[in-house]
Amino acid sequence: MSYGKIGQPLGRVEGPAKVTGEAKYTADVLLPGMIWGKVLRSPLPHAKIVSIDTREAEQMPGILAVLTAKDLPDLLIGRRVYDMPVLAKDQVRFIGEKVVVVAAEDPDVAEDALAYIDVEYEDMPAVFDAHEAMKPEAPLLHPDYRSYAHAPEKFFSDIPNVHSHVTWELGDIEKGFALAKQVFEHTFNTPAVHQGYIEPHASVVAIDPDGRVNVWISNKMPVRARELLADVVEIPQERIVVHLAQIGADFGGKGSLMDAPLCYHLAKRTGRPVKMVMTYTEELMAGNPRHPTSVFLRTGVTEKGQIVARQAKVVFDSGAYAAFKPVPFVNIPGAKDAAGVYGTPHIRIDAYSVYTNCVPSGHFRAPGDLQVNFAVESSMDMIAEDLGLDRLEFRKQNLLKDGDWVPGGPQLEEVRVAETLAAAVKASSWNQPKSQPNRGLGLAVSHRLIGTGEANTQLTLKEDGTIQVLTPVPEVGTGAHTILQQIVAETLFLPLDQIRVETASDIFKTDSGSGASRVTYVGGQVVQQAAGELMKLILAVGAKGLGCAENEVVFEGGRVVHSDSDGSLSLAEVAKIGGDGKSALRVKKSLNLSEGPPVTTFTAQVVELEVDPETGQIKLLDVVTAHDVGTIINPLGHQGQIEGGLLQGVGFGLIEELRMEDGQVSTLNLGDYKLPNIRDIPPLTTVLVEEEVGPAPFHGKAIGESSITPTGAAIANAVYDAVGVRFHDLPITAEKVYWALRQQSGGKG
Amino acid sequence: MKPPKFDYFDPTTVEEALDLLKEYGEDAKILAGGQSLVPLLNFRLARPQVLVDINRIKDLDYVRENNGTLAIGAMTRQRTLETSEIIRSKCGLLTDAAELIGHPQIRNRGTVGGSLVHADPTAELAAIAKALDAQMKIRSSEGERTVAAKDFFVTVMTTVLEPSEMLVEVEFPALAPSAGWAFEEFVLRHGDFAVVGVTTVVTLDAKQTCTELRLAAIGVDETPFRDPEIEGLLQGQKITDSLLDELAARVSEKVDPFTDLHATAEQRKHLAGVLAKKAIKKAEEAAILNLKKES
Repeated sequence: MSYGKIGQPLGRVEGPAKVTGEAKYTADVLLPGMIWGKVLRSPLPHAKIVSIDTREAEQMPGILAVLTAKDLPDLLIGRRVYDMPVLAKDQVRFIGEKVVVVAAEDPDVAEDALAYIDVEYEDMPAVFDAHEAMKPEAPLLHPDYRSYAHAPEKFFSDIPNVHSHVTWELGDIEKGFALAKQVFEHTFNTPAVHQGYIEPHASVVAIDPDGRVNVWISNKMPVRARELLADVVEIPQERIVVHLAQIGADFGGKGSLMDAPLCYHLAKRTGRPVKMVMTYTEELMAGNPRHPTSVFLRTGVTEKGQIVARQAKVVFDSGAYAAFKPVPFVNIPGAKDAAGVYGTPHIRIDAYSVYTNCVPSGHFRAPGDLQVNFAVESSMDMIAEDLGLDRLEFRKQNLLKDGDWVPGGPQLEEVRVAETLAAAVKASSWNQPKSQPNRGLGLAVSHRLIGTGEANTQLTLKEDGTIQVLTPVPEVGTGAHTILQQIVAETLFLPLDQIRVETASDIFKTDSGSGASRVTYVGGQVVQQAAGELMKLILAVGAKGLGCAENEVVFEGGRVVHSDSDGSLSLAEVAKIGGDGKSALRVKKSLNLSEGPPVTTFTAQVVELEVDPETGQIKLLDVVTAHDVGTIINPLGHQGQIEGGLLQGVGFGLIEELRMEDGQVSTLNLGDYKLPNIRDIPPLTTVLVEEEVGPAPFHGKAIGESSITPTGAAIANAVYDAVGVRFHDLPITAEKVYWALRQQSGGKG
Repeated sequence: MKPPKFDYFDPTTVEEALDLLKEYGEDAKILAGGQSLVPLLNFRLARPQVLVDINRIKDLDYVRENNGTLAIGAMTRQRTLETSEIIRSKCGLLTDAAELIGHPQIRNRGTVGGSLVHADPTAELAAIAKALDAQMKIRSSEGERTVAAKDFFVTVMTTVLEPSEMLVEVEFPALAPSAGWAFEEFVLRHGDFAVVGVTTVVTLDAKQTCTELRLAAIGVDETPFRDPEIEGLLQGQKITDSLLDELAARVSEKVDPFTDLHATAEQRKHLAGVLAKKAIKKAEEAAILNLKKES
């Protein structure tokens, strides 16, 4: 198919505002009389709060309010299960938990006052490791868990501190292992990593005299945020207006209310607008990082190298609260991919989400996928080696095919994994002889089902002839607004600049927001359908204006044209006609997709690297990333998603780790917490295996959470190929490589 | 975060700046390129009452060649180290090492004097100054003094500068045309602070015998590490692998590093030796090439 607007490499609609500094983020919101809130956080991982003395702070000049849990409604919050207090009440459960909030005209004054608050704690036994937390003797973090609102009853567990146990099954796992000639067991671990968005969480709340609550918040699902805020501050949703500011990236981490409830309570108490902006230190100690995860795999393989059984136990360290997990089962969906891209007849996957006295974990681009893929793809290499098989051939022999089922997913159609893998291998030096010592190649393959959920839009033909597209999905940096603009322009045969995408949250009741690689698919379809309906309205009103029947007009060159005469109307003229009558040219539409399509997307990566045996340093020489794609709506944005995700995958593989000791994060600034930067981008080849078979509008597929997933495993496999050391834990830092090599050579160093 | 409140002055002459330093003493901090000070302010690790912004003093931004030395004004941007032809021809080590300092955006603002005075224990320029015996020209409203690099750095982020004093110039010796040099670093990501770094200048005679070795290491002590005994190991010698292994072992043994989040002391000791060897090899190869060019 050839299109007009679809397939054009377009810059972002919001791009010029961002690069010129015009874009307004929540932290930029300045209101008359606005004051600042700052929180005092717990220094202890698990303790009873004996007393809080705020008298001295309250007396300080410039301090307008000091609130503790006693001043707030006795309610808990969360994205799904309500298990987290707005301020800690009787006890704290992690280092960094909010205990007291202070408001002042000046943020420095508020900050300084925190030092004058005296909190007396009584230590409680703490647990910092998910496996330890599952033992019978472990301290229980939430003895009342089952009574919490929205706790997932179907997924309760009797194991201590497990707040959700989800099982995915295919076939009969016992039968599968009975068919196996050999059974392999492997365990892998990955740490907490931060999303690394540039904009830290910020919120502003201003309460109008009539009681209307205005909220500005860095949140990717504003309609849901309104719902949750209404619950926790006990006011009707209708009184809350969420204003949408730009978001300085999200990467999955900005779905919670974070400090908005505190802003509300301070605004209520002081009668002033209140702003709270987290520092990056607060982000790193109390954001909502990717779950530290341990993955145990048990794999049954036949004599001929066919995988017949896969058992997986995936343990997610939720930290002190499950409040940042959005899905109804309050667990991490990525666990269901523990069989990887391999057609396995007998599968049982158990995912445990476990409370510990660490930072509460949340969603980060491809949640769970990276952790599980690192395990699956590392184990593929290990099993192949043990069986004396070529690691590529072993994979090829087991790949998913049309008609295979995946755990928790549909029966697949249009499976293009073999082509994707072949394309990655072909573009790399896989088939060339090994060039030099200490160099190695690794590969890894992943897949991701497109996300479902609810999307809304309202399209209006304005009197100036432009089309206003209202969406409740904020632009979190993915290019979603540009995609929506392209889809509407394509559907209406209009130039791009005649389509204006704007955000609005209060005209929609419920919406899933941005996430799960959903926006182009569900959000794209809803604007496409609405645009089709709007066109019908335009033609009807145009025909009326031209004094002819609806079937006598066509839309041509941006005008409604009467085919039998020279008469025609511009869109502005049509809008004016429509505006006069009772029917405004407006279509409001909602689409809720609960079942995903049977088409998934595959990614195959080959990494070539060199290890310096003297320092352990790893240098990425070449990375090939191959993607099974449909119609690419915006090639520029598409490639940006691939490269950005891949670099986060490189960080996950090599350097990123929120280091914690007894629940205390030690990497508390972006100097110590190492994110890869622009010069860490390796030489990169992207291969697109195109076919117009995707489920999104114009046969597009998802891309946002694809390239990040297999990189860690591909790096680990390449390191093994280079120097013969197998890493079961990420990140593979130079220091780890160096010590492992020393051990390998018998400590001679 | 934003910096705490401070009073701000922007003198246009050195004299004015020195008067301000005299007046405010320990309460004042000089703002040069701001690449270290501004983060310290924002993290509230520094809370000076007064900032003396010297960016408007034009006469501190220069590169001059005098009688075999290279005089660089304190406000010369680090980026100039990469672009100045005089620097490239007289002291190419500065040119080559400059790209290890952060990223271009940082080097466009960061200054030569600012880096030296900040005295971060992993600063590349401090290592070069120490290795080359640079001379620091220091002024106050009372007068002027010159301090050798070996005496300039006192400890982590501390130099011999008094609160009323300001570094105005640093003088590097021109490198011999036959010298070869290198700066090797171990970093956790590109453009980051070095975990450990080693810089070296190797001078060879016509027979490729080492006539002089200069070697300084960063990230292994409070100030750049330099040891005459280690430098003497190659004196009058052909550089061989076994000699380098011995030298590397001596470096590892003599440095006294710290453990932090990013590396243990033990790893740093090891890295110092490995990097010393790599740097000397690279410098030797460059020296041999330079010898060939000369003849």
